Amino acid sequence: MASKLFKLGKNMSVNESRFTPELLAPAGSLDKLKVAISYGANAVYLGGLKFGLRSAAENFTEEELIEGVEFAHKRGALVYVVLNGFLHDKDLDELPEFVQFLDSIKIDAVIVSDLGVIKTVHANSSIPVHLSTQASCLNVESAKLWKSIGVERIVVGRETSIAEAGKIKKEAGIEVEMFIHGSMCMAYSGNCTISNFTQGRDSNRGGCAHSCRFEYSIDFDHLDSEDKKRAYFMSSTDLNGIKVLPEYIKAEIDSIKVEGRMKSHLYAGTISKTYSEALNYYKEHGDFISDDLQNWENELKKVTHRTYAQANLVEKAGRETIFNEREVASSNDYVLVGRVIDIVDQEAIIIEVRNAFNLEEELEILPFSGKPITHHLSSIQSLTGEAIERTKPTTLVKIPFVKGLERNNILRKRLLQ
Amino acid sequence: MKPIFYYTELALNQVGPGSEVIIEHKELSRFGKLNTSEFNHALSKLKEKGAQVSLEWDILMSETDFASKASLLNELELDLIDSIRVQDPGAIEYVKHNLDHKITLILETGNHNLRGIQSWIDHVGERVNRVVLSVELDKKTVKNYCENLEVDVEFLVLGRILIFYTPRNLLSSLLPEDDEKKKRRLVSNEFLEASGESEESPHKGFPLIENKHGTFMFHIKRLFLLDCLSDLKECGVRQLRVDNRFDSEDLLNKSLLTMNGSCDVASFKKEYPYDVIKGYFNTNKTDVLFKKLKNYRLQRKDESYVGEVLETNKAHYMAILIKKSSIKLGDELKFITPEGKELVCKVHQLQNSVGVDIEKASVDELCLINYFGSVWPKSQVYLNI
Repeated sequence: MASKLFKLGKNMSVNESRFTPELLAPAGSLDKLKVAISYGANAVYLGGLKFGLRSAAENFTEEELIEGVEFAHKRGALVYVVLNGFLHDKDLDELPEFVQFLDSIKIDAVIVSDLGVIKTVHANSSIPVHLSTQASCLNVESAKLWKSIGVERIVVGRETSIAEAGKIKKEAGIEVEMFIHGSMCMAYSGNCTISNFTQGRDSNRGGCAHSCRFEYSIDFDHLDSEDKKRAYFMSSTDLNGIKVLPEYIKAEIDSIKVEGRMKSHLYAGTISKTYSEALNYYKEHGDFISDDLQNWENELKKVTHRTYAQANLVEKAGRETIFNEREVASSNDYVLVGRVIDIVDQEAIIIEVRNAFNLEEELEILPFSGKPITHHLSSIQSLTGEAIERTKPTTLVKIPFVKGLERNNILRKRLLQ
Repeated sequence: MKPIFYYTELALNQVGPGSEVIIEHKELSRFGKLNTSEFNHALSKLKEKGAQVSLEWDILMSETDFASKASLLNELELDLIDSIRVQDPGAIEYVKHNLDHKITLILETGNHNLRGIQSWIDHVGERVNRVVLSVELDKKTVKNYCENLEVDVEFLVLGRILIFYTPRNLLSSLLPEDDEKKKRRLVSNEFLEASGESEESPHKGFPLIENKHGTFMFHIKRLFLLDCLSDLKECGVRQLRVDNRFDSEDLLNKSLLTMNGSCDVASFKKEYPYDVIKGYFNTNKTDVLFKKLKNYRLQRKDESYVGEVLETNKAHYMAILIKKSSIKLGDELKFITPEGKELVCKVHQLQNSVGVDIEKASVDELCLINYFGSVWPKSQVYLNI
């Protein structure tokens, strides 16, 4: 039976008066920005080449920022730029020029955690300031303080429940943004300097070495004996809030945020599409009473993730939120095989191959809206027309035209078929 | 320069008139162990000895916890408290608006620029008596701050370095339900202590504590700056904090004697029972490795940017996705490869994605040009002008 959700097309009819939060997705690169917005994100957050917390991410040059803002604004989406490092004096020296540049290209907000950075932004621009989760704002009094300083939105600390976030919004009278999906810091954000002192990399300026994901031997008896507990005791499970999305809406959380600027195109597309469709369903129906809840949950399992949990969303994070397993490169059932680079005269589609696939393999195509399309390839060709049995990464291939596909659509395949 | 240390029963012997002591309540302080009656009793004893006493309210609080923590303040003999030390901005705001004590701002997490620190002081106002600076700051920076701030500056000079703080119970989770240590921790609210090491890190023996406020991890070595007292004096640091909470009275006694010059620092350092470091006091270069974290050659650089090579088919073509500037036959292109090689090549063959010859390829189009050796996918393409 076709689901109610997937009857909704790209120009779906929705009840505009019904409140739904903004869907804020990560954009680790310009390509990922385009993917996230095309798949339904209302806003994206991204980093420039400095001042953020992901030094290893591709991030955006000034040219890419201009192009990204233009792409987003044309589609009614907003762009927030992270300046959320705990900056040192010498970093601040370089900041005014960048802030003025961001103002000139009309970005919609900056996400900041350091008071010195907030003051610098205020002194050099009229850009709205959102307080980063890195500042660990956890209570109403704290939100009132930040509001009095000129912050317009609080990204609450990850230790905050949805009910608490709603209370912070109402009692402090400030916009609230809250994570709904993705990896979690185990520490209070901003309160972990393991990388600083063990790897010489400032975790609060973008150099986090993810020491919390290591396996540790824990000696409770201080006997240096063999009787130690080996565990990934500081590693957190991933957040997945799809089941409690109604609670976010009930609490009138202004923005639901997805973690993951370092993650793949498949992640950016799948997460944006899934949460966007769930929100649109609510906007149309006023509830989540739908068979599609299971579909949304299944979709979220198709991206790389650790075990999912709800962390602190409903009650305080317990033992089940410790991910006591070794990290593996791909912990999901699906892998990105490529994305659509070009469509040629409704005859062929050109795919940029990211992971190899065979002619006989079944692929899933993720349209910007609607149900994933299962597709059996009848042929694969190189751009020069030679038949191919198995593709190679970092190549371009042609497949026969598939109706409904658009540029930047993502193709995936199930592993271990 | 004045030493400041924590109240413990053992440390009481070291307290005299003019001593400055930090007192912790188990509900308000990360490592506090005193309940309300013990707290008030200890407070009286400290005041009898003529000490200046600061209450440390340094936990971070969820909204649910905040009200109960704040209301607890009413049960404490606050008239005997000289100042309150706070880190959570909510606690700062609460103390500012509901009490009239001097406020010590604990700015040890982040706060690595003068503008931000000054803004905290300006926000709270004249009741700020002191700021506690981060041990990640080097001495040159500390000196600059001391010269520019109009309030006292405190710096940790001896003790554990906290490197991780979470509200979650990470240690007791590892123990079976019937474990005695687990019961003592969860039922009697005692501290659960352990040490940790990882084979993925050369550092062994991280001290770990779990208590009602969560789990804490410390650096394997202690911060030891007692041999830098002249530097600290030159910097202008007014208060030198000794974290004696995990140490013996004897060690505190010797620390204080060393600080007032009655004990030789070299001898003390030699007999000090823990490995020590100076942390970042001499220099902080924790951003120098950032440039190695990614390949900067893959970033677009200037206005002559064309796009990116998506495929190279040896002896046949190179496929370029045009992202910024169109190209035409005869243009000279510069390729910057992922390995950093710069190669220049002239476009003498230009086709669209289905192999039809074209004169020009525009933005957002995929085009094929003549193959050029040593150019790889992900190479960035520029007009060579």
